[in-house]
Amino acid sequence: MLRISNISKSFGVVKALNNINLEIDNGEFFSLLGPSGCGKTTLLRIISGFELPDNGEIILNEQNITNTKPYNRPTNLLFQSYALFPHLNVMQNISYGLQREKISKIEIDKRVNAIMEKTSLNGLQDRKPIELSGGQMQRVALARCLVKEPKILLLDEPLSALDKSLKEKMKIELKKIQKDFKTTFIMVTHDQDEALVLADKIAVMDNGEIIQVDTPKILYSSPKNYFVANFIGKMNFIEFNASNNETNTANKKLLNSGIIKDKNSKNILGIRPEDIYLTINETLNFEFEAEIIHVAYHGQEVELIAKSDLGFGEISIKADKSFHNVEKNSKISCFCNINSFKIY
Amino acid sequence: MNTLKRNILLIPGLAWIFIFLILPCILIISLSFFERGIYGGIDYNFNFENYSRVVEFTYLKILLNSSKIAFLSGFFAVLFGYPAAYFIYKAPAKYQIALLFLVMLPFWSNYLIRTYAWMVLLNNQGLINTILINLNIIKEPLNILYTEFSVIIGLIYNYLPFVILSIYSSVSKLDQNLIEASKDLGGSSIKTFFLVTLPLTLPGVAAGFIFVFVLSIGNFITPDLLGGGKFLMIGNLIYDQFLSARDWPFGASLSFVLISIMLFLLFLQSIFVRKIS
Repeated sequence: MLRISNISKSFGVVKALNNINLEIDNGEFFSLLGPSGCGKTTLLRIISGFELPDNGEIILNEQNITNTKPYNRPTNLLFQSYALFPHLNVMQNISYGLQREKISKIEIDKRVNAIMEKTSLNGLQDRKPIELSGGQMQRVALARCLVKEPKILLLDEPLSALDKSLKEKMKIELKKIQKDFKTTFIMVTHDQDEALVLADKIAVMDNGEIIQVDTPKILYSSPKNYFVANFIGKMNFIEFNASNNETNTANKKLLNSGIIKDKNSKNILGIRPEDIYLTINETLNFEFEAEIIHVAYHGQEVELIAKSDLGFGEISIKADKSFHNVEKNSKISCFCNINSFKIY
Repeated sequence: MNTLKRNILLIPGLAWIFIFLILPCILIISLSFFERGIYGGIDYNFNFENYSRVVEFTYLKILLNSSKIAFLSGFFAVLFGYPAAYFIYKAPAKYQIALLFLVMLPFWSNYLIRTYAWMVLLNNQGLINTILINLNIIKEPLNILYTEFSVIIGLIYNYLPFVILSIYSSVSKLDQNLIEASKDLGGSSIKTFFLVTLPLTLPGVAAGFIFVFVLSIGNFITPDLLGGGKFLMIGNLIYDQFLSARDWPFGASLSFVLISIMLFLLFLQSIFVRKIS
């Protein structure tokens, strides 16, 4: 287990990390997710040993590695730019790490060949990095790390340099490789979609702090606060108007339901687009009105942008193709379960 | 139309190169196939006599010795220049420009004056000998001045800034992620330097070395002043043929050999750089 406790780091006056605590299990695919400048890359560099924290400790399997040099750590880093050695061929790149250890040449060849097999790099051993495609470069970088059999593989925005179709393919491949090798993966990304698909557990970061650590499922269904709700997936936000309860039955019902705890402060309602239905069924116990502002055609489905009578704020509703011709400014009835609302 | 305009803009530069570089070279080459006249003029007798003289033992020895001195100067200039360039690169960004400026500063004074300054430093009553004697490290002054050694010192000193600049430009272009990748994969700082940093900055090293070699092998002022005229380098030999011996055809053939060596080295360097990058 990797235990990160009380890690803080400042660069001059900028506080990059503020008292970070995390526990990551062995064999877990863990993701550090946050907008740029949130400190996730700094945390990755502290785990890999390229930065020293001002405070706190990094404990790997009961061993304190806080001040261990990068070349003595059982961690390896997959660089965003891959950082393949341009003067060495694929084979030499992959064996570089093993040659730094006291391992016989036969053993090195055996392990390098095995990893090239697993990462489907056979036949490319004599190519220089410049002669490789983006996907191949990434696989070489991955093989170069994994051949060292690290306790932890750190991945810095591993998919950001790939084009869209390759990205989807590599996502599946990464997940497969991680399950295959049972290595702990810690991936830094700003792309919530990548994190949701790949990670077993996600830590959402903002401003040098960890906001929420949970499985993708829980993170998506119960985001802890406005920031997480806004960052993960799509969420409709409605500024709830409490004083409107005399004239609007929906508002009155919401107030009486007990979801709104403090009616005097500003309440932001959050609801996922897919939780709003346009036809009623027995699980849906709440109804409100909305006025269509815009219809966005996505091919498979239609997105309705509307203004609800619950309060200020545009909402997005998923609808099937039959709503393609719905008139602007027309009123529609929306249904949902009252528990789908989150209050921020 | 656009290409035409571009070609017109090229004319002044090309004309300059043609008139002051290509044409003199052609003149030198054609001169080298004639003979010296009895009173120092040129007899227009086409022959290869001058070239068979160039490979005579006396002159071949001078050429080889010049190559040796140029090689040693280049080698040590790189050896001293690399750490300096690396240090400048590693210095905080705000000092780098200032440090590079300091490297170039000597060029603002005259070449002769700088060479004379070395004579003052190196001679028997000079600063270095005085200090060594006063510190009781040596009893008798060392004979440094007017040796090959002092010539090499002078050449290194003069061309070191070029080496530092050319290595600096190579080192500063190096992707720092590669250094970190090497360390991440278990490479110590020393291993990382020899396996990653040095191989990837060799183009700068080669450029610096060739630069010093080419400028040193043709140099005649430094061997004259710091060598005390005790031995000849090929530059001195050419100088003498044109100005003392008045044997222009032989001087021309020596020049042509020298130019060929330089061009060949530059050609090797360009192949090397292309192969690396």
